[in-house]
Amino acid sequence: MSTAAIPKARYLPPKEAGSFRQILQLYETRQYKKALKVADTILKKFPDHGETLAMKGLILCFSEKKEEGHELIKKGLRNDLTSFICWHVYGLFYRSERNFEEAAKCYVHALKYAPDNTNILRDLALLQCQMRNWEGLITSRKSILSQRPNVRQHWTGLALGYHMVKNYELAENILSKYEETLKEPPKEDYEHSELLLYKSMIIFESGNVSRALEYLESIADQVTDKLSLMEYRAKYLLDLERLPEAVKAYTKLLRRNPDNKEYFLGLEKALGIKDDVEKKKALYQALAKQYKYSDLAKSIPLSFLSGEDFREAVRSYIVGLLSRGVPSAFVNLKPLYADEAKVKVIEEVALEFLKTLTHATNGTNGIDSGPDMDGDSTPTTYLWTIYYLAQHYSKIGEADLALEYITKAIEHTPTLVEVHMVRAKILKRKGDLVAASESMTTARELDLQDRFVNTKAAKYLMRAGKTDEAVNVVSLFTKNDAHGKGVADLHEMQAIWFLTEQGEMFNRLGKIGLALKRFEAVKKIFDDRWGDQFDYHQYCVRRGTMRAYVDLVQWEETLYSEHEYTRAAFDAIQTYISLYDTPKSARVAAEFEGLTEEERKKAIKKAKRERAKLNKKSETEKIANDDDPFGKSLENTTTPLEMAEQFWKPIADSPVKDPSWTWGEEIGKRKEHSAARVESETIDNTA
Amino acid sequence: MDIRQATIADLPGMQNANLTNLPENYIFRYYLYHALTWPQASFVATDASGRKIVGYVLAKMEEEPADGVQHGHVTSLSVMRTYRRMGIAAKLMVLSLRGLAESYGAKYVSLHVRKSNRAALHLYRDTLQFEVVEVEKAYYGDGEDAYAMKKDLSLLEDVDLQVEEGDDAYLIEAVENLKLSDDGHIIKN
Amino acid sequence: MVPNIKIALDDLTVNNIGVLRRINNVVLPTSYSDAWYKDSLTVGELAKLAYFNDIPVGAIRCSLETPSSHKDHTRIYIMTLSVLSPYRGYGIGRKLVDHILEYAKKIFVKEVYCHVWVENEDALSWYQHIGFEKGELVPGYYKKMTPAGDAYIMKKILE
Repeated sequence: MSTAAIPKARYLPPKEAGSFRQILQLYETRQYKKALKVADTILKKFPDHGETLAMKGLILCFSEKKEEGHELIKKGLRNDLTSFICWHVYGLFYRSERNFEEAAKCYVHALKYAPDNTNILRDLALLQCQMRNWEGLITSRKSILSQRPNVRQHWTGLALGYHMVKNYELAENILSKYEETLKEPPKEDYEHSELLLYKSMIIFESGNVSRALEYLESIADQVTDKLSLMEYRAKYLLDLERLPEAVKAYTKLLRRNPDNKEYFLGLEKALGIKDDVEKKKALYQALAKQYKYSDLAKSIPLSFLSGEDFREAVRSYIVGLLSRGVPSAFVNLKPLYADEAKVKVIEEVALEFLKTLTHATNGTNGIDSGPDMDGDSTPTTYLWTIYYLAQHYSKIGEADLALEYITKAIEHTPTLVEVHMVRAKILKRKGDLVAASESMTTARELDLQDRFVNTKAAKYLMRAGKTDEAVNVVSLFTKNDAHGKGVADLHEMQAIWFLTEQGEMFNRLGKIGLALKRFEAVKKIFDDRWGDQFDYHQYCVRRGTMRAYVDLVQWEETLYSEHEYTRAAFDAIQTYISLYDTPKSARVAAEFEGLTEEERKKAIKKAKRERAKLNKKSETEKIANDDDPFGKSLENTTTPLEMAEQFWKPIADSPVKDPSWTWGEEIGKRKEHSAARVESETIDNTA
Repeated sequence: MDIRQATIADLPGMQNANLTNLPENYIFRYYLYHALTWPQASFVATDASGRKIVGYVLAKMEEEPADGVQHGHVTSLSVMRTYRRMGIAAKLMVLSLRGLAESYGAKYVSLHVRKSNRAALHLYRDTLQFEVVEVEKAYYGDGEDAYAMKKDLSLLEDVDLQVEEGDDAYLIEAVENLKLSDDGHIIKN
Repeated sequence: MVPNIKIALDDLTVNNIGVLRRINNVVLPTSYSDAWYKDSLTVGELAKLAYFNDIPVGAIRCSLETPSSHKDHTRIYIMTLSVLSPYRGYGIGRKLVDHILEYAKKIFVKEVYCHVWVENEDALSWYQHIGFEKGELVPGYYKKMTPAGDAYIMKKILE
């Protein structure tokens, strides 16, 4: 750049110009303190120098003086509106605030004054990925590639842009051109291998499967990821209806992993027997013989067999699991419970099996009373069988029978954690939350080392409204604060299950502020998950893990439609809406309706006392370093509809739609009503 | 049950399984870091519905191996209590070891296990043939010691890669040699 | 079907102490104090749980009795031995006692003994069956029974 082009306001004499370059270097190496000192020496002489002000501001922002820094950045930019540095700095500021949209605007401004600056282009490209501005990404990436064609990641970055706008041909071309730049393709190189598989995936997605296969076979000896190679090949062959080869490909995959459902289904298709029950039955018999430890080889046929065949198959499956003492026998079969006829057969089979079992029950004094080998089965088989039946009857709504069986199981082996867990579940389904929680606690006390049952016990305590006990239990496995509580740790570790359960419990207990606080915490976890991807736009292109990256981009799109989010979001929206529907004054009035003056006073006093008590003992609910530990500001919000909207918007923007999600309308209706009310009030006032 | 390589969409389920099962927890970014750096190293097991993650192995390559030898490390492995005794943990581990060896050239794989965790010790030592390298004092946050274990991967064979004629013959036979008897029942030759 | 049975012993720990409590509560007529259970964690090999196919179903808890005079020798006293009733007849009780006998040899203790209610013939013959001998009668040993129950000392002298 020629010095003649430098505007007067930006000009620095050689000494200060050198100092300014030093600031940039110090910033890059994160020597913020030194950088600030140098900046101050320049500013002493040139207090209005825009670029120095901006850099100082940026460094202050990263030194925990955000407000002061922000002001300086703005001032710097005002003093030098045509400086790419000032705009770049402002962009970096917005980026650190995760305000990606504004950041991108700043970068675009910066590029006006420095169109070839690779750093800014790269930073812009990241934002374009974050905002899914793929057309913009293509432009940035083209620019970068033209400047640095010798680096792989710049080729991949451009190919990604084309891939994302479904311009498969150009995406493939770019990758091919890169391959042509290599004198000799590297061998056993993971990153190169990933690139080749990425290209194969792009060709497949373009619809030209035969070429995708051809290409895949041409790169086979350069690919290190043998699993993907085999999986792609099988899929492509099946797609091309090259069935005998597909059969071989799936057979090989099954040898590698006989517990993968897709391989079994692929094999069915490749053999052309997808709709032929008899042939499938024979196939799975052969597979079950070959893969003795494969659950799928035995369980898949249960879904397509019927009548006597089903009875035979399900008998052998259940008996096998119960004899081996597999606790998940019931959950393994649960998908079949959608079919009433099958449920009936399962019940008959399980009861028949139970009849065949005899078990030793003699001996009364706590010690062995002599060998008793009359039984044709072990006591654990009997135990797991009645355990199964308890779950079975609970599932089909026969709570009393379920309780009968689980009580027998508990009498038989009161030391087994699982029987108490199932009893808890049965009681919960019956609506007896307190007894359910007691049962879960019994289970927990038998194995304090197991966090699984600890989690369940805490959850059941919360369902039973036992605030403090739940926190005490859950805190046995967390990093705890000064009060020995793990609530802060569970926030930090993003324990969505806990936050949601606790929020719902607080809601039931009328602790609205705390409830909202927990739902907001869940939202923050999801917002963080959205933000977390940011670092990977550059990282994956560099590491070459493009297939995983594309997977990430697609997954993030549906982030907010996941049940874990919608559950907490709908809870929050509902709570905010009820805050709007029943303003605080009305809630208080309703509480004291129909009382005499004296009664009213008494009631208010009592409420005050209770609140004081509540706040005192809610140490367990509080988190250190929180200005508003009980969420009072949320509860007292004057804009509940807007707060609700914050939860709703990302769901509305998600490509996944569910007709039962009607909260958008509920909020909209009230907003209209509210606007009308404001309008009429304004008219009243002016009248 | 379905066991397959972990995808990004599986990560929340893995994090949840970890949080509800184990005392050592990680924030989501750490799962992302694993999956986007070593996508071939981690595997999941789902329940019969295919939606719920009931077991996972989260693994990586050691980034700066102290001994200069490329090797993998198992960050976390867990199977929900109610899904035990199905061999899920061992199956997950075997797939992960193969992925680490093939994709990243891991010569061996290392891991830590709580001294009191007998079931895990049994799995690694007896079922998967890991050996105890040393005891690391107070390795865990609560002060418990850990066994540092490792397994040599140089003996993993490429069994899946050798195309052998007739490998699938038994299946084709099973399906083709079906005949209907007079009363409509299947008889096998 | 061939029954598939695996029996194993494991340590008593702070995490599974609830199991000892539950087995004793179900099997034994007397109940023990919290202090006794707490103390059980300090006796090392003298307390063990027995597992049947990975489910805890039996337990033994002993104490080491140091002699009050130099004439006596150190003995191990079996305070509780219990196996859930469906799991009796599989040699679990024997395995638990064998563990104690082996441990006694290891630490050079020459005698292991316990009290058995005189009316409990099954138990008396079981102890004899595994090599214990009947010792003296202790009248009124079980004070909480009405009328107070007498007990035999059952003991095994180790070479």
